[in-house]
Amino acid sequence: MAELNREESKRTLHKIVTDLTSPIQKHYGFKPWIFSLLLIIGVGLYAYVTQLQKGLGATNLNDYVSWGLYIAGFIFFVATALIGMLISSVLGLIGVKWIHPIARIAEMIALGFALMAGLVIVFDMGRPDRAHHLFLYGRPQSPIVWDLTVVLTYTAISLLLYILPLIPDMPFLKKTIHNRPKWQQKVYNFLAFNWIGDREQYRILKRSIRVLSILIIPVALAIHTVTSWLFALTPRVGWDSTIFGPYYVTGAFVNGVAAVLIAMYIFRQNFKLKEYLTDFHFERVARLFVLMMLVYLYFNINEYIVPGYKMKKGEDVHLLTLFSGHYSGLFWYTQFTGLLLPIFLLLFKKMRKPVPTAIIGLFVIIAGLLKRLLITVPTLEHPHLPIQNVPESFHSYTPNGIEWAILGMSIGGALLIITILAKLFPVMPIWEIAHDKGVHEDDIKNYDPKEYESNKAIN
Amino acid sequence: MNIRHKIAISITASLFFVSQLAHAQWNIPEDSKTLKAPKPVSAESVIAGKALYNTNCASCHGQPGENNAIALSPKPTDLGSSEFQARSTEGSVYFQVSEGMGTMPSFKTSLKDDECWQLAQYIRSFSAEGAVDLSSQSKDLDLRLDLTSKEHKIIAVAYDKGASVEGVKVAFFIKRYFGNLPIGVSKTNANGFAQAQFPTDIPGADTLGTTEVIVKFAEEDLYGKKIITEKVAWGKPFKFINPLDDNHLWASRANTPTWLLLSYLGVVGGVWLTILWVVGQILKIRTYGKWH
Repeated sequence: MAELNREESKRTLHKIVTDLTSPIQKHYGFKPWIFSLLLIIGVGLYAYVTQLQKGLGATNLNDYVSWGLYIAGFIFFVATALIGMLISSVLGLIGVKWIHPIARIAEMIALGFALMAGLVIVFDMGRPDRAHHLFLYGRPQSPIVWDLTVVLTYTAISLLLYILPLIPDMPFLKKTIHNRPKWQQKVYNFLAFNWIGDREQYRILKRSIRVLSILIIPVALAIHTVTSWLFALTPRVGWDSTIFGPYYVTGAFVNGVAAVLIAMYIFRQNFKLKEYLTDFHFERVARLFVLMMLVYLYFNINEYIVPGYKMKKGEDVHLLTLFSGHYSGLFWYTQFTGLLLPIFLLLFKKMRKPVPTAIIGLFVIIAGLLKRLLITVPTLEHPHLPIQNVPESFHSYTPNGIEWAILGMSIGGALLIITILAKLFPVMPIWEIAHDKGVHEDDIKNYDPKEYESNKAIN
Repeated sequence: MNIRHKIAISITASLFFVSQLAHAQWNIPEDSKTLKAPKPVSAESVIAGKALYNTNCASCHGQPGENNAIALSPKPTDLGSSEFQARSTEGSVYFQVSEGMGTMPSFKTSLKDDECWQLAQYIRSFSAEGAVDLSSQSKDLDLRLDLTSKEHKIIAVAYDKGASVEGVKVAFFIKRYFGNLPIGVSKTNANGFAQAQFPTDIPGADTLGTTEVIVKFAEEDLYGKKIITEKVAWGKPFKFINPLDDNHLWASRANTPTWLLLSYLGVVGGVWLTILWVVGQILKIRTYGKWH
């Protein structure tokens, strides 16, 4: 971007700062939104207290299907969280510029969903009071211990990758936000880490971000590969697959891009950021979306056609339930609305606009949750030995109200975390966007909103 | 029709055929019924017959008089029952043993002629006319063991009031987990000695190779139920290896495979050190800002 003259530079910077910080000061529809999230969380809490009192018997989980909606939800959360790595690390390291306004949104989604993923496992525990036993008595040979480790590690790196690019924005917030409570100012002060915008500070900051961006790639691949191994390291029909790792990772990218598209649309509308999240950005992310869905489709074809062609004894029951049996409706729904139709629609330029992409994203993400339910449940309904001498209700599984309420609470929790972050901090890095638009380094360093206001008064 | 159906049908058909045969009546010639054994019934022949019965007949017919035959169709006859004895003679039983019918095999090729007679005499000993008083022939003997630790020979001495007895059958066993393993039967010689060689390939119960030798009279009805057991360290030393004690994927936490533990700790440690390094960088930014 060409250098702007000083006057333009200052004016541009002030506009960016005002556009990005004003949603923090006033935010339309914030209260009803928070209220509905709290309502969902409240209902979920009530359901969880019921579950704590009655044990997991309060759910529809049973001796055979002991992993149901919660574990499907867990994979869904981990999957969605993976987007932080794809957008801000992979594309960032390649040097793709158009991700600058999107990277922090992706990181917020990553953080919110990774934090809730850890909680969802606890919801699935019959004895959550013994959760710490995993640390005390866990075996390093167990994929569950690996999973716990990577979820914690990924959350820590995501948090740092969210905080680091936030540091240079803090001086702007300190200077412009005055009508907020004192603790908020203190948070800004703390997170500024004495940032003065010197070359040396930028050097340290950028180096740290680069190191973490590289580090998070194997960690993110590990988190979802290990999640897939919770399934694939067992000899169960439908899980006993060598491609489960990449199958999960690509599925996660599809889910994550869908979440980013929805979030981009909401921030663009509600935060009035049309100038920053343009049709161009939606067009680019939509292309990425199609690419990810094509790769995921490829893995789906492998995952179902290879065993489907052979129809091995024992696997046939499982596969036929998906293709033409009890779960076929759900299966083909997820394949069509989660993959085939979106890929087809997004081939058209008209469909790669903000509104259509957000709607498609919504369908894909719903199909994503259902798909994970289809990976988890039918396998458990088809054990190697026949199900016999058990109550009729153990033969199949459908999540009940308590499970849906608790999953709703988890989704609500993730959205609440994202909302709080968006309410406290700008959803885009002010400094990076200012740099991209050619604002002078000195202006960023010495930004003073009063100066601009007094200039305006003189003019 | 697949192969399984074919097999199932053939089995059903042959079972039907066999059961028809088995249901057929014994056709015992009149002259066979009156036939008598070359040697008259004696305690020895009944005892020999009993041993033969236990080896060849008991698996289907069960113990005579106890009605514990196995569940075949038709059910094998209880040979001690009064109904069976009422319609039998020594000759008719001999005929049935040697000829067989239907599911009951013929024994004339696998047993010698006098053995078939011994069996017949034993079976008939459950009837009034075939009964033999064994007590007149039997006498309780004593048994003692001599073990040669070098050659692993088990020598049994049968004696009666201090005097050795010749011609007594002694049975040798080794105690195993689910029963006694027979290693030989031998008759005492003129000195009253019977011997058996301890096999070289028997695993012992522990690292010393401890095994238990059991010796008794082969004909307990004649010489009494005397059992002598002795522990010897002649077996192959056996060390129990618990698969959980080694480092395996399935073992306990303390037995994590080293490669896995090192990989896990190495990767996790490396990543977290980097995370700590980044935290340190943030503090560096903070310190820098403080002094400039």
